[in-house]
Amino acid sequence: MAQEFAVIGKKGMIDNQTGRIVTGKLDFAADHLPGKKLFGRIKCSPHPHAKILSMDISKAQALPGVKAIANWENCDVLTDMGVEAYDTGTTLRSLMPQEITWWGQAVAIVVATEPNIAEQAIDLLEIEYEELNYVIDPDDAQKSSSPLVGCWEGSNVRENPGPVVRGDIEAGKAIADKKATLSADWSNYFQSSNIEPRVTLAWWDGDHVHVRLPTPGAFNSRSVIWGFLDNEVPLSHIHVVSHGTGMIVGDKINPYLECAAAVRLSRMLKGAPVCMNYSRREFFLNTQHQHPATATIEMGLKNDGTITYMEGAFYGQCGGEGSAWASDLKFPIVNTIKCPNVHIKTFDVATNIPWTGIYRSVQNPPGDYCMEVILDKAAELVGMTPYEFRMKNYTWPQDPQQDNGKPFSSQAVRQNLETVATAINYSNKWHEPDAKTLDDGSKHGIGIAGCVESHSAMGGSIGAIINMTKDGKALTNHGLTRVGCGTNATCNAIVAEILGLQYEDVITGDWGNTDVASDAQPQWGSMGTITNGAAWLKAAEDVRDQLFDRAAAALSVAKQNLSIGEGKVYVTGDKATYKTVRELCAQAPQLIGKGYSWAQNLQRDLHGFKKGTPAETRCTCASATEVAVDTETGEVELLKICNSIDCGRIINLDGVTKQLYAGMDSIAAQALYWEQIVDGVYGGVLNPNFLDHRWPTSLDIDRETVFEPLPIETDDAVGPLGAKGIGEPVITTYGSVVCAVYNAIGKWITPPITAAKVLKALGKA
Amino acid sequence: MKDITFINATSLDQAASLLGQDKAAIFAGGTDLMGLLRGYVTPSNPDVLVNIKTIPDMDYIKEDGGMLKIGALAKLADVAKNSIVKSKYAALAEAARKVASPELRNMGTIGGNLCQQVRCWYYRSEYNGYNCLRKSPSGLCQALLGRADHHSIFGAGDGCIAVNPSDVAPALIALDAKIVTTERTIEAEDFFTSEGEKTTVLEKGEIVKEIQVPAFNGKSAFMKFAERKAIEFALVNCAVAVKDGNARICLNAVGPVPRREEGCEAEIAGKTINAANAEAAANKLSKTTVVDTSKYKIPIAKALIKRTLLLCA
Amino acid sequence: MSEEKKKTSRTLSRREFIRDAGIVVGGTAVGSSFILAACKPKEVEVTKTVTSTTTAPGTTSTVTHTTTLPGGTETKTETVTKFVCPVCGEEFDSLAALQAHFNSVHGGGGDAQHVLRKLIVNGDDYWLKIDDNWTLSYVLREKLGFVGLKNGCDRGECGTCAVLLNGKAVFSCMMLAIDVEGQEITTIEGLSSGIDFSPVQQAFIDHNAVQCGFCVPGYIMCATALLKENPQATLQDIKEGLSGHICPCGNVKRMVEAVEMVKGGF
Repeated sequence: MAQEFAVIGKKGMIDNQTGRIVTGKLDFAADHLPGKKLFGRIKCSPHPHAKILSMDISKAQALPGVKAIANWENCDVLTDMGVEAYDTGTTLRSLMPQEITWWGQAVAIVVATEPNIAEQAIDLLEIEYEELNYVIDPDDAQKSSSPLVGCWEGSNVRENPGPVVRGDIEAGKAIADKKATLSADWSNYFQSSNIEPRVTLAWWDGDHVHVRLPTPGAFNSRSVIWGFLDNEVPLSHIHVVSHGTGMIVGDKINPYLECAAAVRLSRMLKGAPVCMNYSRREFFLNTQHQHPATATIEMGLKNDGTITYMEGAFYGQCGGEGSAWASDLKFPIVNTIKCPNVHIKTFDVATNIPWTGIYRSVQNPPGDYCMEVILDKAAELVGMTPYEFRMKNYTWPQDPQQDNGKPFSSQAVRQNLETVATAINYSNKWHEPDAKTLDDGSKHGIGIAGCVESHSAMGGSIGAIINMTKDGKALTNHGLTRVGCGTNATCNAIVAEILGLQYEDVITGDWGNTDVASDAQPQWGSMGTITNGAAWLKAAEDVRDQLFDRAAAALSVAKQNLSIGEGKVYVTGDKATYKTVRELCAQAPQLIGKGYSWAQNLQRDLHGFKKGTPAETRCTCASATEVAVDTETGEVELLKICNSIDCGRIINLDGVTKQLYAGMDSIAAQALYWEQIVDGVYGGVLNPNFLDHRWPTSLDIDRETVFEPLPIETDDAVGPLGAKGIGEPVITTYGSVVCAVYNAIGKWITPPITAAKVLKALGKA
Repeated sequence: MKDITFINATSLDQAASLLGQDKAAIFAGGTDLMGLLRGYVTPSNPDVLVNIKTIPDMDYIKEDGGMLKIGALAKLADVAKNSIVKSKYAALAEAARKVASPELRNMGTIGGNLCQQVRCWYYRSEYNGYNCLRKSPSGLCQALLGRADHHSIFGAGDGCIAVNPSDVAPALIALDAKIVTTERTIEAEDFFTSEGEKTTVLEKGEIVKEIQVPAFNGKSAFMKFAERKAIEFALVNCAVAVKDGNARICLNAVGPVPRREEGCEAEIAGKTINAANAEAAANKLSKTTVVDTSKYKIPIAKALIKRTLLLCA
Repeated sequence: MSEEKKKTSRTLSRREFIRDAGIVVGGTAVGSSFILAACKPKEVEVTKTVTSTTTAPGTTSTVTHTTTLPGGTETKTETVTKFVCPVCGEEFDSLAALQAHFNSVHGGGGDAQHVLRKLIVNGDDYWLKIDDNWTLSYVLREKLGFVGLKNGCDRGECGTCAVLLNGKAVFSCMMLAIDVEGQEITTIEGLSSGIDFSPVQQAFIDHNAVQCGFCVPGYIMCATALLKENPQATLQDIKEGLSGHICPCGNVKRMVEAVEMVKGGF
């Protein structure tokens, strides 16, 4: 990029909470009020589909230390005077219903003085269930003979509105040299398994409620809590502080049962602090999972590899809760492939498994996986390498979003793919499937994947306030929570750049605190940097403008002749004539800057579209992976992962690098290990724990040689200083590992690619 | 976790007497029992935990009277790092080193590793999730029709197809060790069983005191195959000890008890250990009795036998 | 007079004793013989013979004081009942005093809940009531406020609860607090004052090696013990040493690099 920056893009933007983290002082939700809080535990349903007929809580109630028991009907609070019974209320009832639709769903909550006592009380609940028919297999669920899951009337399948329809399928068929129906099998069902389980600590004083929870959006959570309280208290009486967050990748986006229970039960307990800290088991069973996806696409191909039409459907599993989520499964294929004739639908399929919902890059990883498998199969049909075939058919930067004609503010999937292909030396390493054996006898494979995916948009208009201190430094209070990918640091860096300050001169005072900051765009969908960065940029420009006013007066020059840098406001071209930012800030009144993010419109002319045109800001990424498959044991070893994401503008280089590493680490997990195993015979979840739903350890990958992060910059036409979100590096590595394994052994294996599956595919088991 | 009473034992006699009672459980490192208790796994919970770590002089590792003697309370980490064990009884050092994770090896004892309960996910489902036949005579084995990914390829033990998960057991068997208890001395190979909820032949109140390994001047090796390179229980593990042209080959995590593969031993006996011979030996793996979801373990078992033999070449 | 003070401080009156113990015994100040001796002119011998019988409760002794006076020998006999603690042998003058001692120190009637136990954390002694079924992580976090360690899984499968026990890394969620009475526990709070950082902590800062931070205290504790035992740890040693920990933010690479940076400088 031609532009030169003083702060932007440099390494070492260490956010000022790092010292607290390494000393264990960063406060996570459950760290508050040690010894002074009550603990909640959940009774998890032992049936995949059942109706609760009755619940005898007398033995549980009699246990000393039990303070409250809640189920779909009643919340019974135990006081010195006896039992106070409350109606559970619509909110909690909707989150803890009488009809259970998955094994492990919450059936009751017990609050007690100790977790041990709550657990003992759970064990003493006597519950009568009417067991109902259930279905676990998604293909069975689609048959007319299937039992109903219980979340929808009449059918377990639901078509999403808004299929993508463009061009003329028949015209595409007419010009095709080949037609093929290509499909990808069901991808894996798993959970992102955040290291900190869902948790909410709540206590009341008067009609004010204090809430501590991990969330990507403190203000969004406040609004949800307002709803949990049936809007009975003003928003400003809900005090949310979210300082430490133990991994936020979408699954903790919205507070759920744990929060509703904490705030409501605490109020019933006369304000006593209630900590609903899910156990790891409760978390696996009561938090969103990733939708497994499958796709079948009929494709027309010319001999030169051009795709002439695509017609078909994606299916996503939505679990027992029935939130429809499949519609964006088609986003990658529809926007990554330049094909004029498209008719693609999406369907949700319900089964009696724990609910699927929001997770990292929601819907795009399984959607991309389906696309990558289908593209590789198509490439084989026309005798092209997967790389060549993709470059033949990928959209270009100037191509608008396919379903609405809006320009992309940056779109670099070709550049991403080329970057990883070059880095991994694809042209020399690619070979036919099942064609290369390494010296140690294992099979070598190489895979490549790339996509335009749906995240990283500019969010709603939010504001930022900068308080300049009298010694010329900037104090920022972030509405953003601290997720760990460095968004707060990024926003501070933008402020520093605009104000000509050092990065260390912009200090985060507080963050994630609804009492102190102004609203922020939650850090989901990779909207954090782009939206909040825009607001902080505007606020910094406001400060700069006021500094220029003061300097112009002091130096008797026109405002437009001033520049800022290195802690000074100086006359452009005459650095010797200046006022320091410090002395300008020392003047009364205090210098305060305010700014709002802007709408998602082009900030400059681009690809023939005028400045001000409504645009789409999306993420593009690509991955190339090399593997070695041990054909005796089925073990897959990662030899190399090159992972590229378009950052627009790299502001926080450490943050970007860490995100790319995270993408590679998560992918090893997604593609090779993760599976929430629901036993089709008994309907139960067999592995709600970290032992059998596994993360790679420090020994499992030679990260020092395998990981190669390759961020690129495209100067996005919407984002602040050209930056956009970089939180989605997980997507394409998922597909590239699957394709690499195919290239190694000539067999398609659905993730997770376990030794068992590899050996079975090789005919050895 | 339910209410329990924690008693620090002062002697083996006292511990044995306390453990002879109903509802008492032995507590050393506790890394297995804690999982069972915290998860309300079985309906029968002990009321009393008898802590034997307070019994003095039970964690030694020494050479004495022509054999290696290890006190039952020796930590797995100490066994793994001990210079005598590493240099002369390599299979044992490697096995101890591969158990679980470093922290759990600092807590867990060699005796405990031998006595641990099975890991079948139906058995271990918390809050007694499944009425499996291991826990109750009226129960049934869910793994037979369900997911048996981690289970036996050599049939059932008393109806149960869960495997013995110990990493140390096959190493001790390959090294021809003996287990000394408060009542008797047993060959390591005869120490294990699968009857009801039992994984060892220990009677009620009987405690492992010491492990004795005869002096070994051959080559030994241990390999573990699991979904990850740490934390995991083995899908298959294999220990080999070769001396004077004879091999002892022991597999575990593939059957209800660890098992010597005598057919493989016979095949390699007296032969140079090279790739071809090792493969031929591995192919003598005994006949398997296996459900579909465990079949993949068979080629892995063969691969491990071959590779572990080659480490002893 | 000093004689009366001592009496009252050493014994109960007969009436009080009978009221409390329900047993007819008598007692006088054992020290009376010394006082007598102090008032005596020189060349006085005092001898005391004791014969004891044990009745339940308490041990009754008959004490004979023989005093040799210039004018002859005086003998006094007294019966003294002592109540001796069966656990530690300390003596008390009344059953009530013995019961109070037993309850506070040894736990009366098998109820161990009243016993105060000592945990040594970061070099300081903490006396507290510990239920037998409380895990070490629960006690450290909720009873002593050491919330730096975290509870990611409560089953020893994630590493976030790691602390040092006698210098070795262990999972506090898998230990019972009562089991580590009197042993040395180190938590993340004990590694530094928070103004100066330990070498491992400083390396994590310098290398910007944290993301959300939840797993970091566990990694740092483990790395600290690892490097203490093996200051020249290789990359492979470090990877193996940290292999009991997971980092779902995917930050393992940076943390391993940070630990590598400390090598030698520990």
